[in-house]
Amino acid sequence: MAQFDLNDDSVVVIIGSGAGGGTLGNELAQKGVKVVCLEAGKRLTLADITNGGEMFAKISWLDPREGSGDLDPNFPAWICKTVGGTTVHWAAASLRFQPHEFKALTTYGRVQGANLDDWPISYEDLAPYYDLAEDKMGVTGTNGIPRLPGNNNYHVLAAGAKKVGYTDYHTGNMAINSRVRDGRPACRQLGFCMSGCAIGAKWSTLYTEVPKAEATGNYELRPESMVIRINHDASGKVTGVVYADADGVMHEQKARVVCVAGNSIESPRLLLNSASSMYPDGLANSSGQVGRNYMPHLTGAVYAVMPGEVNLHRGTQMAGIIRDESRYDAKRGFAAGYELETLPAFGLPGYPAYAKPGGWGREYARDIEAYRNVAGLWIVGEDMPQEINRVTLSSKQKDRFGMPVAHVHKQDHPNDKAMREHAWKQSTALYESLGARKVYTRMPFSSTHNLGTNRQSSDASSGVCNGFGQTHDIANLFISDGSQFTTSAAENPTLTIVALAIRQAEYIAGEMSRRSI
Amino acid sequence: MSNEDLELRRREFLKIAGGSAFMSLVAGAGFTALPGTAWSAHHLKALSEDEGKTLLAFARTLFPHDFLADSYYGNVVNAVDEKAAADAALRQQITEGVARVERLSKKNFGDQSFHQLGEKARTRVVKTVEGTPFFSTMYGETLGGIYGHPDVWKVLGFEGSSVEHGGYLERGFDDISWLPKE
Ligand SMILES: Cc1cc2nc3c(=O)[nH]c(=O)nc-3n(C[C@H](O)[C@H](O)[C@H](O)COP(=O)(O)OP(=O)(O)OC[C@H]3O[C@@H](n4cnc5c(N)ncnc54)[C@H](O)[C@@H]3O)c2cc1C
Ligand code: SF4
Repeated sequence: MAQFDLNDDSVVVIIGSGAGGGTLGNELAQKGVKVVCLEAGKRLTLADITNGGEMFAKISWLDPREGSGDLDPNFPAWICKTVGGTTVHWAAASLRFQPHEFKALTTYGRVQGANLDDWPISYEDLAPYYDLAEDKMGVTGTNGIPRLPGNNNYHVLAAGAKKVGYTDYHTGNMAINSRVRDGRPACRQLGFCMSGCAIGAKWSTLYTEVPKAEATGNYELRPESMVIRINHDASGKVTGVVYADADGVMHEQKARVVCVAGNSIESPRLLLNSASSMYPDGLANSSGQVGRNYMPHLTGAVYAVMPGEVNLHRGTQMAGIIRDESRYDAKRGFAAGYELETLPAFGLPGYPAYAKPGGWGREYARDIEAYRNVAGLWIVGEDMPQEINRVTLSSKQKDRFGMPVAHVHKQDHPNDKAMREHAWKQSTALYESLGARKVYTRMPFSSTHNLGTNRQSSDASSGVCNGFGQTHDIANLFISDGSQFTTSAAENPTLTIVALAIRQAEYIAGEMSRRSI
Repeated sequence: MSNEDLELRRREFLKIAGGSAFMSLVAGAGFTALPGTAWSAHHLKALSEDEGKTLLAFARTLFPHDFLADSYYGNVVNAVDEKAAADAALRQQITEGVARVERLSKKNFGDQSFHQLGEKARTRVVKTVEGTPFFSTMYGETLGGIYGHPDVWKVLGFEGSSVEHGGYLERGFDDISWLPKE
């Protein structure tokens, strides 16, 4: 395992070890580039991962954040703070975007109140990297890897899908081993994917990318290292980062290149907090777009009390998907599309807490008593980027290092509302077609997909970075996580984050050897 | 974690998998009453006996399960009492909340105390205080206390941690039988 000096200004510093940062670090290290990865969270091993709610408190980002608009005021987003980032908690649905989704503006046209744009890259640009990402993550239904078997919750979804006339449904493309692969075991249907997979069947950078990077000798991971600020020189280039270690002691790590991969709330927070006299609005923010266009996806959930037992806690939590509604079809009355994916109730007390938040009384108790019979699904669709939905620095609260906490604002666009209504209606019909006694539709959980706050754009005035995630303003500063998404697409984002990171690594290594950065 | 460790853990699971199948405690549509005891309020630390009785009835009104003996709701009251003993502000919130609940009961239901009322009347009183900090405290404590209890998990069918049983791969993850044939 390598160790680099704080004054070594030949290293690439990566902030965050999740889907984007973890992948980028390994890809660069494999190419011989020296990497220091600074990660705010602690490093767990598989032995620390248990089956239960206690995992939430152990690895979630619990430092204060403020939410407004439609968000929970105290816990707007559910993100991890741990080595591996949110890939420790994630459910592992790994879908490619559809080609038209890279051309949202061209496809949907101008939507009032939305800040739509086309991506600077096309599906064809990313396709070879999707191939690499699927192979790296061992995605089922690709590379000859069999799909996972469906659990009870999936069988309900599939039977209902068939009844209401859907045709494109299956057990998904999952970064979960359906057989032993890459030194990791096959899924045993534990049913706690979103607490962390205790056997490592699910891909997480914690036990794939990070140890592989370390094995190259080119990579140093520093856990419990919270980056506070990115420094630059008089020419405007970034020169290093200031971070607090586990004891709160500040250090400066010099760098040749800095890559920001703290997820879509922390990444813009850090750029904004790095404001200087040269960059008074924050780094890479000449467009004013840093922090804007926050997209937590259009989401919602549905729980149904079925006529027979389902026991939905058994097995893979995201056990299957219906894709029929992910197409773009203007006839439905809204732009873009959505996916329907199975969702667990997170056991007890999860189900009574989530089916109808705040629900109580005799009738609700009766529906809770029917826990065994509950089936559930999650709606995930493309939401509209809006400039007003944004991450800013709080004027009220600072964290323990004196850094203003992130304030996150999100309010639904009318298109989001129309899509959610449509999805609720379709899902209700699906479960009722099988005799559901009661259907609960609910609003989003705290955001698990966080996108768009440092977006890619062809035009430097309408976004923060180019198609490689390189910021328009500062050539050696990169955005390496989901915050670079121009639009959110209907699909779960992580496969795309990983594909972009692989592509970015190739670009950074090339630019470094050409000495352009 | 090395690959070898992973393989080892996997083999451990294979060994322990396929053990005892889950035994349902449920017969037919109804639930067998859980053995429990009556609950008495006279040992409370911070709260009075009368306050305890009101809270007990309040907790049951929120999530009324006939199969649960009073002691399960009593555990919730004990937990609130513990916290109130350590937190003067909470103590005050509870006392004021209880006083309001009692006032509403007595005023609207013939001078009866909340715990003496039938479920319908209790429900009306609870509705009136819904949204207050007192309600939120009792809601959170009751939700967590009742549905976090392993006895309740057993009756309702949540099977808890599965890794030590090798997951559900051989324990019914796809045993659904009532669906129309595909
Ligand atoms: C419950 C759940 C289920 C999910 N399921 C799916 C799914 O099925 N499919 C899918 O595609 N996506 C899923 N997601 C989303 C997925 O996890 C994220 O999209 C993905 O992990 C984001 O990658 P990232 O690199 O942007 O950030 P992350 O993976 O969140 O990594 C960011 C890392 O940066 C660190 N960090 C932040 N700021 C700093 C700082 N200043 N200094 C140092 N370190 C810092 C954080 O501690 C964190 O470890 C799910 C998320 C959750 C919560
Ligand atoms: S269901 Fe599979 S992926 Fe999910 S936690 Fe279990 S073993 Fe891991």
